[in-house]
Amino acid sequence: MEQATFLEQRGFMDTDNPNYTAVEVNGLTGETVTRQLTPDEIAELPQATNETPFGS
Amino acid sequence: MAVKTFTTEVLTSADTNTYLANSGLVYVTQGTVSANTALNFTSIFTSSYVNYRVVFTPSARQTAPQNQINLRVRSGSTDLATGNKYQWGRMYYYNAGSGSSGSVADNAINISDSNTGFPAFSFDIYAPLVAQETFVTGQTSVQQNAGGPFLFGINWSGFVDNTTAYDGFSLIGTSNFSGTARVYGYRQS
Repeated sequence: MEQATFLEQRGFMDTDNPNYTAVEVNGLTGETVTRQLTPDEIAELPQATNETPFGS
Repeated sequence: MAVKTFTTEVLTSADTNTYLANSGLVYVTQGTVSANTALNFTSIFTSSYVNYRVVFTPSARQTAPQNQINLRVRSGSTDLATGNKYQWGRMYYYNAGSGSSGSVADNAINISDSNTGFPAFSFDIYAPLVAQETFVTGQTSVQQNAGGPFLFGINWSGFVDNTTAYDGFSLIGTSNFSGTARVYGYRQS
């Protein structure tokens, strides 16, 4: 299945951030960097849930 | 037990520094996201503390929904994302109702809902660096905009069903994941 479709079906399609970036704080180096998620990380994004009473 | 009991009227700089370094909650680190997908805290849990508190503050009011946040533990630079080792449950409530949900085999812990805006939340994470189950307890307060606005509150807990030690965690959001998470360690004694 195409990755975008896969993520959209799971409710985790980040349309505002199509590059899927992460801010990583490293306690060993003291550095904070912004990086792109790896393909594996994108494929393993969690499932979204919706239990509020209104909206989509 | 106090770090030191003073018996004189002299408070030295050394004593002051000792108290500053041994307050009840000791700041460890923080990270800020601005429309990112994830916030990774890598190698931040150390032997200095057993338990930690995480406080997340959203960066701005959001009128659009779709900003669910999930939690994963992390070892080195890798999240625990496979194997469905997360068990979690939650009670949620709003102005006209309440409910519960959960999972005994998930790939993350839900700490907010996909149909809400920026959440504010905090949680305790217990002994992540010890080779036993890692437990978490938390609470989330968020504004539901569709049909609202109104409060959507969540009390939640969970654990990682293995005996792996973890030295970090990740917060993973959907759209517009923006805000700052600060991490504190609980002083041991």
